[in-house]
Amino acid sequence: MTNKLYFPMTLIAVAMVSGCASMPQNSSLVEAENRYNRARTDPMVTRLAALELEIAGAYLNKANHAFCGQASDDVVDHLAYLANQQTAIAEQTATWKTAELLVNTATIKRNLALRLSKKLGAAKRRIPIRQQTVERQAVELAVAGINP
Amino acid sequence: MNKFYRLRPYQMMRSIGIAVAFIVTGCASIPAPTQQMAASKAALSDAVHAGGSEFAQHQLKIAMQKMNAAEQAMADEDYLRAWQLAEQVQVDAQLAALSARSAKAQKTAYQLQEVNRVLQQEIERNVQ
Repeated sequence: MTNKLYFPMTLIAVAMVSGCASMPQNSSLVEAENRYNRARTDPMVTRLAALELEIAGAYLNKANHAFCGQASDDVVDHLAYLANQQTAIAEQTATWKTAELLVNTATIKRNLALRLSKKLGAAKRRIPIRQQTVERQAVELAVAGINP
Repeated sequence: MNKFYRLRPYQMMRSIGIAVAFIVTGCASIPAPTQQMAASKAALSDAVHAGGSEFAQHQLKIAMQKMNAAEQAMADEDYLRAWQLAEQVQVDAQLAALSARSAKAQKTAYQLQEVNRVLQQEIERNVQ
Protein backbone atom coordinates (compact mmCIF):
# COMPACT_ATOMS: atom_id res chain seq x y z
CA MET A 1 0.00 0.00 0.00
CA THR A 2 2.71 2.42 1.00
CA ASN A 3 4.84 1.36 -1.92
CA LYS A 4 2.00 1.95 -4.35
CA LEU A 5 1.70 5.54 -3.12
CA TYR A 6 5.34 6.36 -3.74
CA PHE A 7 5.05 6.76 -7.51
CA PRO A 8 2.10 9.19 -7.59
CA MET A 9 3.62 11.12 -4.67
CA THR A 10 6.87 11.47 -6.62
CA LEU A 11 4.91 12.68 -9.64
CA ILE A 12 3.18 15.29 -7.52
CA ALA A 13 6.48 16.42 -6.02
CA VAL A 14 8.00 16.76 -9.50
CA ALA A 15 4.97 18.70 -10.70
CA MET A 16 5.25 21.06 -7.70
CA VAL A 17 8.94 21.67 -8.25
CA SER A 18 8.63 22.20 -11.99
CA GLY A 19 5.69 24.55 -11.44
CA CYS A 20 3.14 22.11 -12.86
CA ALA A 21 4.87 21.90 -16.25
CA SER A 22 2.16 19.74 -17.79
CA MET A 23 -0.54 22.33 -17.09
CA PRO A 24 -1.30 25.33 -19.32
CA GLN A 25 0.75 28.34 -18.29
CA ASN A 26 -0.54 31.37 -16.42
CA SER A 27 1.04 34.43 -18.06
CA SER A 28 1.18 36.61 -14.92
CA LEU A 29 2.81 33.75 -13.00
CA VAL A 30 5.38 33.21 -15.75
CA GLU A 31 6.13 36.95 -15.74
CA ALA A 32 6.55 36.99 -11.96
CA GLU A 33 8.81 33.91 -12.10
CA ASN A 34 11.00 35.45 -14.79
CA ARG A 35 11.37 38.69 -12.88
CA TYR A 36 12.14 36.85 -9.64
CA ASN A 37 14.77 34.66 -11.36
CA ARG A 38 16.40 37.72 -12.87
CA ALA A 39 16.52 39.47 -9.47
CA ARG A 40 17.87 36.34 -7.82
CA THR A 41 20.92 36.37 -10.10
CA ASP A 42 21.59 40.08 -9.50
CA PRO A 43 24.34 40.29 -6.86
CA MET A 44 23.27 43.81 -5.83
CA VAL A 45 19.76 42.58 -5.03
CA THR A 46 20.89 39.44 -3.22
CA ARG A 47 23.42 41.43 -1.19
CA LEU A 48 21.36 44.52 -0.37
CA ALA A 49 17.77 43.20 -0.34
CA ALA A 50 17.99 39.56 0.76
CA LEU A 51 14.95 39.77 3.04
CA GLU A 52 12.77 41.51 0.46
CA LEU A 53 13.74 38.88 -2.10
CA GLU A 54 12.92 36.11 0.35
CA ILE A 55 9.41 37.52 0.76
CA ALA A 56 9.05 37.64 -3.04
CA GLY A 57 10.06 33.97 -3.15
CA ALA A 58 7.41 33.16 -0.53
CA TYR A 59 4.73 34.92 -2.61
CA LEU A 60 5.89 33.06 -5.71
CA ASN A 61 5.65 29.74 -3.87
CA LYS A 62 2.12 30.56 -2.75
CA ALA A 63 1.19 31.57 -6.31
CA ASN A 64 2.64 28.31 -7.64
CA HIS A 65 0.81 26.26 -5.04
CA ALA A 66 -2.44 28.06 -5.83
CA PHE A 67 -1.90 27.42 -9.53
CA CYS A 68 -1.07 23.73 -9.04
CA GLY A 69 -3.99 23.41 -6.63
CA GLN A 70 -6.28 24.56 -9.43
CA ALA A 71 -7.21 27.80 -7.68
CA SER A 72 -9.13 30.33 -9.76
CA ASP A 73 -7.26 32.56 -12.23
CA ASP A 74 -8.20 35.55 -10.08
CA VAL A 75 -6.39 34.10 -7.05
CA VAL A 76 -3.32 33.03 -9.06
CA ASP A 77 -3.14 36.42 -10.80
CA HIS A 78 -3.42 38.21 -7.47
CA LEU A 79 -0.60 36.19 -5.85
CA ALA A 80 1.53 36.51 -8.99
CA TYR A 81 0.97 40.28 -8.86
CA LEU A 82 2.14 40.36 -5.24
CA ALA A 83 5.22 38.26 -6.16
CA ASN A 84 6.00 40.58 -9.05
CA GLN A 85 5.62 43.77 -6.99
CA GLN A 86 7.60 42.29 -4.11
CA THR A 87 10.44 41.46 -6.52
CA ALA A 88 10.27 45.07 -7.72
CA ILE A 89 10.47 46.12 -4.04
CA ALA A 90 13.65 44.02 -3.66
CA GLU A 91 15.16 45.60 -6.79
CA GLN A 92 14.19 49.11 -5.68
CA THR A 93 15.56 48.48 -2.18
CA ALA A 94 18.93 47.64 -3.73
CA THR A 95 18.78 50.80 -5.88
CA TRP A 96 17.85 52.92 -2.87
CA LYS A 97 20.60 51.51 -0.64
CA THR A 98 23.16 51.99 -3.42
CA ALA A 99 22.08 55.63 -3.80
CA GLU A 100 22.27 56.15 -0.01
CA LEU A 101 25.81 54.74 -0.02
CA LEU A 102 26.71 57.18 -2.78
CA VAL A 103 25.27 60.05 -0.72
CA ASN A 104 27.28 58.99 2.33
CA THR A 105 30.53 58.69 0.38
CA ALA A 106 29.97 62.02 -1.38
CA THR A 107 29.20 63.73 1.97
CA ILE A 108 32.47 62.47 3.47
CA LYS A 109 34.36 63.61 0.37
CA ARG A 110 32.69 67.04 0.50
CA ASN A 111 33.56 67.55 4.17
CA LEU A 112 37.19 66.59 3.55
CA ALA A 113 37.38 68.80 0.47
CA LEU A 114 35.89 71.76 2.38
CA ARG A 115 38.50 71.42 5.14
CA LEU A 116 41.33 71.05 2.65
CA SER A 117 40.07 74.01 0.63
CA LYS A 118 39.90 76.23 3.77
CA LYS A 119 43.42 75.24 4.88
CA LEU A 120 44.85 75.85 1.44
CA GLY A 121 43.13 79.23 1.25
CA ALA A 122 44.47 80.25 4.65
CA ALA A 123 48.00 79.07 3.74
CA LYS A 124 47.90 81.11 0.55
CA ARG A 125 46.84 84.21 2.49
CA ARG A 126 49.71 83.73 4.96
CA ILE A 127 52.39 83.75 2.23
CA PRO A 128 52.12 87.48 1.33
CA ILE A 129 52.03 88.38 5.05
CA ARG A 130 55.26 86.44 5.60
CA GLN A 131 56.85 88.16 2.62
CA GLN A 132 55.80 91.56 4.01
CA THR A 133 57.29 90.68 7.40
CA VAL A 134 60.59 89.63 5.83
CA GLU A 135 60.72 92.83 3.77
CA ARG A 136 59.91 95.00 6.81
CA GLN A 137 62.61 93.28 8.86
CA ALA A 138 65.13 93.87 6.05
CA VAL A 139 64.24 97.57 5.94
CA GLU A 140 64.54 97.81 9.75
CA LEU A 141 67.96 96.13 9.62
CA ALA A 142 69.09 98.42 6.83
CA VAL A 143 67.88 101.48 8.74
CA ALA A 144 69.69 100.20 11.86
CA GLY A 145 72.86 99.73 9.74
CA ILE A 146 72.71 103.29 8.47
CA ASN A 147 72.03 104.74 11.90
CA PRO A 148 74.12 102.69 14.34
CA MET B 1 16.44 53.78 7.46
CA ASN B 2 13.39 54.25 9.62
CA LYS B 3 11.97 51.75 12.05
CA PHE B 4 8.72 51.31 10.09
CA TYR B 5 10.62 50.06 7.06
CA ARG B 6 12.48 47.42 9.06
CA LEU B 7 9.30 46.06 10.64
CA ARG B 8 7.16 45.68 7.59
CA PRO B 9 8.73 42.62 5.92
CA TYR B 10 8.13 40.49 9.03
CA GLN B 11 4.56 41.68 9.31
CA MET B 12 4.10 40.90 5.67
CA MET B 13 5.48 37.35 5.98
CA ARG B 14 2.83 36.71 8.62
CA SER B 15 0.05 38.31 6.64
CA ILE B 16 0.93 36.33 3.47
CA GLY B 17 0.20 33.09 5.31
CA ILE B 18 -3.09 34.28 6.76
CA ALA B 19 -4.31 35.85 3.52
CA VAL B 20 -3.37 32.87 1.36
CA ALA B 21 -5.00 30.45 3.76
CA PHE B 22 -8.28 32.27 3.25
CA ILE B 23 -7.93 32.91 -0.46
CA VAL B 24 -6.78 29.42 -1.50
CA THR B 25 -9.35 27.56 0.55
CA GLY B 26 -11.99 29.88 -0.85
CA CYS B 27 -13.41 30.22 2.63
CA ALA B 28 -17.04 31.27 2.42
CA SER B 29 -17.01 33.45 5.52
CA ILE B 30 -13.95 35.66 5.23
CA PRO B 31 -13.66 38.08 8.14
CA ALA B 32 -13.43 41.78 7.37
CA PRO B 33 -9.73 42.48 6.68
CA THR B 34 -9.55 45.42 9.08
CA GLN B 35 -5.88 44.82 10.05
CA GLN B 36 -4.83 44.54 6.42
CA MET B 37 -6.78 47.72 5.59
CA ALA B 38 -4.97 49.55 8.41
CA ALA B 39 -1.56 48.21 7.27
CA SER B 40 -2.29 49.33 3.71
CA LYS B 41 -3.35 52.80 4.85
CA ALA B 42 -0.17 53.08 6.91
CA ALA B 43 1.91 52.04 3.87
CA LEU B 44 0.10 54.67 1.78
CA SER B 45 0.77 57.47 4.25
CA ASP B 46 4.40 56.35 4.47
CA ALA B 47 4.63 56.60 0.67
CA VAL B 48 3.19 60.14 0.80
CA HIS B 49 5.59 61.01 3.63
CA ALA B 50 8.52 59.65 1.57
CA GLY B 51 7.67 62.09 -1.22
CA GLY B 52 5.64 59.74 -3.38
CA SER B 53 3.39 62.55 -4.68
CA GLU B 54 6.46 64.19 -6.19
CA PHE B 55 8.73 61.30 -7.10
CA ALA B 56 6.33 58.36 -7.69
CA GLN B 57 3.16 60.15 -8.72
CA HIS B 58 1.77 57.47 -11.05
CA GLN B 59 2.43 54.54 -8.68
CA LEU B 60 0.92 56.42 -5.76
CA LYS B 61 -2.15 57.39 -7.77
CA ILE B 62 -2.82 53.74 -8.68
CA ALA B 63 -2.37 52.67 -5.06
CA MET B 64 -4.81 55.37 -3.91
CA GLN B 65 -7.40 54.28 -6.49
CA LYS B 66 -7.05 50.68 -5.28
CA MET B 67 -7.44 51.85 -1.67
CA ASN B 68 -10.70 53.58 -2.59
CA ALA B 69 -11.88 50.40 -4.34
CA ALA B 70 -10.91 48.39 -1.23
CA GLU B 71 -12.96 50.77 0.96
CA GLN B 72 -15.89 50.30 -1.39
CA ALA B 73 -15.49 46.50 -1.27
CA MET B 74 -15.48 46.71 2.54
CA ALA B 75 -18.72 48.72 2.44
CA ASP B 76 -20.21 46.11 0.08
CA GLU B 77 -19.00 43.37 2.48
CA ASP B 78 -17.04 41.81 -0.40
CA TYR B 79 -14.20 40.94 1.95
CA LEU B 80 -12.19 38.75 -0.44
CA ARG B 81 -12.04 41.61 -2.94
CA ALA B 82 -11.25 44.08 -0.14
CA TRP B 83 -8.48 41.79 1.11
CA GLN B 84 -6.89 41.35 -2.31
CA LEU B 85 -7.06 45.06 -3.10
CA ALA B 86 -5.68 46.05 0.30
CA GLU B 87 -2.79 43.58 -0.09
CA GLN B 88 -2.01 45.05 -3.48
CA VAL B 89 -2.16 48.57 -2.03
CA GLN B 90 0.44 47.58 0.56
CA VAL B 91 3.01 46.36 -1.98
CA ASP B 92 2.19 49.17 -4.43
CA ALA B 93 2.62 51.80 -1.70
CA GLN B 94 5.85 50.24 -0.47
CA LEU B 95 7.21 50.29 -4.00
CA ALA B 96 6.12 53.92 -4.43
CA ALA B 97 7.82 54.90 -1.15
CA LEU B 98 11.04 53.13 -2.18
CA SER B 99 10.97 54.68 -5.65
CA ALA B 100 10.59 58.11 -4.06
CA ARG B 101 13.40 57.47 -1.57
CA SER B 102 15.64 56.19 -4.37
CA ALA B 103 14.91 59.19 -6.59
CA LYS B 104 15.58 61.61 -3.72
CA ALA B 105 18.83 59.89 -2.75
CA GLN B 106 19.99 59.80 -6.37
CA LYS B 107 19.24 63.52 -6.71
CA THR B 108 21.16 64.32 -3.52
CA ALA B 109 24.09 62.13 -4.63
CA TYR B 110 24.22 63.94 -7.98
CA GLN B 111 24.15 67.38 -6.31
CA LEU B 112 26.91 66.39 -3.88
CA GLN B 113 29.05 65.04 -6.69
CA GLU B 114 28.65 68.39 -8.48
CA VAL B 115 29.69 70.27 -5.31
CA ASN B 116 32.70 67.97 -4.97
CA ARG B 117 33.72 68.58 -8.57
CA VAL B 118 33.73 72.36 -7.98
CA LEU B 119 35.63 71.98 -4.69
CA GLN B 120 38.24 69.78 -6.36
CA GLN B 121 38.81 72.43 -9.06
CA GLU B 122 39.16 75.06 -6.33
CA ILE B 123 41.72 72.97 -4.45
CA GLU B 124 43.71 72.30 -7.61
CA ARG B 125 43.79 76.05 -8.34
CA ASN B 126 45.02 76.78 -4.80
CA VAL B 127 47.76 74.17 -5.02
CA GLN B 128 49.16 75.60 -8.24
